Amino acid sequence: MRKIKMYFPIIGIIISIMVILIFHGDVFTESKNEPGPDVDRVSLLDKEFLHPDIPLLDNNNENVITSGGLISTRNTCGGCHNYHVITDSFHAQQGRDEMDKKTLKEHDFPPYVMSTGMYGKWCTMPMRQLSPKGLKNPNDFDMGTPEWTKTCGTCHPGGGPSEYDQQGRRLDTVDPATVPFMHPDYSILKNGKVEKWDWRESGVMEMNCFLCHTPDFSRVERDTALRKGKFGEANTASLLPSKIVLRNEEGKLVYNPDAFDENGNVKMKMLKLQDPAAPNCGQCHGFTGNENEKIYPFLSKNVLRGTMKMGRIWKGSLVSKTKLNIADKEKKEYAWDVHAAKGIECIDCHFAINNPAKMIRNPKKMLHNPRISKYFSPYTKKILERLKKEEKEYLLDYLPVGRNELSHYLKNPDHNFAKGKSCPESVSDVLDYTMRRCIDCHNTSKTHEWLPYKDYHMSRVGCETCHIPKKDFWAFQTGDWSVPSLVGKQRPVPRGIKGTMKDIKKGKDVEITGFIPAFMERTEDNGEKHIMPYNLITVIYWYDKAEKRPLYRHQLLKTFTKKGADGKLKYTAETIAFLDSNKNGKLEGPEIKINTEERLKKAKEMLIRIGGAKEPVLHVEVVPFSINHNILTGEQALKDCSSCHSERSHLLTPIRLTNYIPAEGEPELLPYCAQEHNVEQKGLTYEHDGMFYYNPKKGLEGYYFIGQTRNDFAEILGWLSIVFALLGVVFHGGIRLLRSSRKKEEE
Amino acid sequence: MSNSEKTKKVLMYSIGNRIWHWAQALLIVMLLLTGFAMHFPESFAIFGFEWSVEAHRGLGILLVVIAALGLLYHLFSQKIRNFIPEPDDFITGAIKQMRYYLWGIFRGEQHPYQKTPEKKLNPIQKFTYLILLNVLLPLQILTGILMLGATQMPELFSYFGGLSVIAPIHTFLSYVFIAFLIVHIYMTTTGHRVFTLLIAMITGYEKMPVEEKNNDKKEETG
Repeated sequence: MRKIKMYFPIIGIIISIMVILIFHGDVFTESKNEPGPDVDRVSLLDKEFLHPDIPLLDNNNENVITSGGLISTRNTCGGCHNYHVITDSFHAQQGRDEMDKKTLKEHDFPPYVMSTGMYGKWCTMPMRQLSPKGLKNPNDFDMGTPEWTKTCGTCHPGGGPSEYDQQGRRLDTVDPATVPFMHPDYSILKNGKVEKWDWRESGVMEMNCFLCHTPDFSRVERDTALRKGKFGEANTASLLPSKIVLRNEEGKLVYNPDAFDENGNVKMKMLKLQDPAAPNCGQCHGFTGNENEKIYPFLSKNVLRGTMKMGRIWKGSLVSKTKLNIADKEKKEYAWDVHAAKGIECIDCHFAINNPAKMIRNPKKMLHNPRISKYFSPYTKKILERLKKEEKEYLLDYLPVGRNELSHYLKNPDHNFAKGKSCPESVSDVLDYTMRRCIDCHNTSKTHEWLPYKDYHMSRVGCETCHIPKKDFWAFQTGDWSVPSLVGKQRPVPRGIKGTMKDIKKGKDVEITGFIPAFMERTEDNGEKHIMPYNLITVIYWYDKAEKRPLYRHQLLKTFTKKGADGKLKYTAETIAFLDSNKNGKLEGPEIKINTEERLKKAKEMLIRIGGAKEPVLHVEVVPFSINHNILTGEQALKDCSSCHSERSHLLTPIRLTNYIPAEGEPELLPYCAQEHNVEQKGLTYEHDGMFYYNPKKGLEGYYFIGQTRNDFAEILGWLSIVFALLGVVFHGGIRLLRSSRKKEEE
Repeated sequence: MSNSEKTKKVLMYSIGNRIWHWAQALLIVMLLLTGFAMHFPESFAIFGFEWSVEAHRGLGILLVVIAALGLLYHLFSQKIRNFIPEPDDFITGAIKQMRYYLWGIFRGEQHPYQKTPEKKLNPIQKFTYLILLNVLLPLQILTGILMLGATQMPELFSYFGGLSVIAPIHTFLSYVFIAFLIVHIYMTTTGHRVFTLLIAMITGYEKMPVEEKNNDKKEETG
């Protein structure tokens, strides 16, 4: 017995260790990752680039400096960072992982929409639709994955649909002969015919890490490779400005030996790997750049989605310093965006969701869905669980970043970036409202004390409404697909410039006047409704009522145009005959519109006879693009009460939608956006001077703007009471006067 | 109402009465002006929107304070009885007074009700003030307080329909107040002479025709 007692302390120690191991495993994990005494932290921080020199590997995992092959980011970056985690993100997938019927039904999309993201979602601006599987009639085929990669790929970082087919097979491992005819992943529409595409020849487009993680990239070189169908080359070509990759005399991509060290590793001072900076994001999301960079007004390869759709420019320099011909620019002594001017980067708000250095530790936002939280480290999860239990939302200041948490993130960087929610974006709803918002950094109780009824204003008016009262750039107003242009696209009409698209294309230095956004109501995640600024883009397009889908671009081109001897599109004689108002044998911009019953009838007849349409009708669709960038400082923001509280309220400025009224169709908000905005279609727009306008009085019907809003019932009844009182006084007083003067006469 | 008619001066309104009346009058007029400067900021831009908002809020609070003090005074002094119609006032009195306003006044008849410092109001006036003080003013104050407290008590504000319901009611009532003011000012001309009632509200003394049988001790022959 005494012998057993001797072992008690030892047993106790063993049990204690086991308990700690079971319940507090992290304690040991943490200490295991502690840097050893040999790590010189100061010298690490002194290094220009934290990332070590690395070998660039090709598809066969061989160093490109010896093999001469094209760079495979899957092998190069994926060696340390989990490529699967990175590409399992909405930037890479573009909705490919949200093509199930349930998700689509939840969004209440029309039946021809195939996904929630840019891969498969119908968008009236490019007027292209990813074709579904199982088509029989080539007339129903519009766009396969190869063409999507060629054209849409310019704003798509790679991975996802341009690497794997919808069955999950790597595209360059499949023999196209083995797939059925018109399979969307292996077919392309060429000269009106559906042809097979061999990814084994084109290569696939892996996630292009360089596009976002290096400062010296070329989106244009990458785009050129994509449009040529050389998908495998795209990532390598994008490194041309870094001088790591060069183009030899034959035009082939080769590697610069000076960019590599003696071990075959690329020198980091050449590759310059970094966190994504604004110019990286700006490649697809809108203009960025330094003061000296000229912003080309239109159709330059640098003008991108965010700019065309919302007039977005992310620059810290003063508007007055730009080389653009901006109206009254000498008076515009303020930055394009105050956040850009303060050095804020896109990833500060739209951070990688499991980046411990940037994330908002909000358990309500981060833990509710396994899709988001699956890439969190156990340490992060534990913290979030604890905060959830304690019902705390923001405790960032008190939570040190664990080292194992950082290493987990570096190995598994979730590339689902925190985001808000705004129509028409519908991808990855589980990430809605995860981003850092205004109130996460700004304390309005300190900055907006001057504002009467501050809380009431804040509860009804979005920050952007006052801080983006106007845009100093242009954006799209209308896209007219009723008769396509001779470059096979919509005929666009911009807002915010003096002049036409033709002037811009000719290189004329048109004056940019900017525009006032359309103010609409938006329902937030907590059910609150706010007034927010939007750019409304109206698209006039043909819809086939019998087929229950839009008419495809190839049907329109076939109907109204033909290819000339020079290979360029020309309008057919029949098209010219019914649209040529001045009878000069040519079609000029203003003539091309379906604005009369006669033209409508003729166009429909042609679409049925030539284009293969069954029951074409004109649709006029309004897409609201949320404006959240180009924030102005308090000095430039709307501060004067009378800006909103007056008969000519800034917020109620009517917004022009089209420059003519089509013979058919009334403007309707994109159906799933209409739901989000909770607006009634009826009366949302009105006609004036032969154009369609958005009527903000209708769009903001539930809002009462003191100084502007009039309740007809109260006004009429109120004025009547005054009029009756006056009439009564005049009548009564008149008789009294009359009687009194008569009495005097009698006396 | 001949010039030769004998009149007497009666102290109708005490200094307190007059201060209370004119303070209310000034506040109501200022509230109407600032209110309209907010409602029609461009066509009635006399003060500017921002100043009008602040002034309107301050004046509104002051009016509520004065109205509350007045109510307390009338309650404790039991002078509130003056404002409460008596049983006879409802039909007989009201018809008699209405007949006077619509007929008798044009024929130079005597007022059916002799005004005294204790009984200043005729039946029609009692009904008017009953509605004004019990319906219009409280409703105007309530809607005003709800708007004033939109930030402090947002739930209550929303419960009553928010600005789109409360503001039109407040606006409509302000129109009614203007209508009341027009009639009220006109009715001041229906005294012994055109300005008799107005002067009385300034000096406190009202000139009244002398009735030989029933002389008041307070009277001074004029």
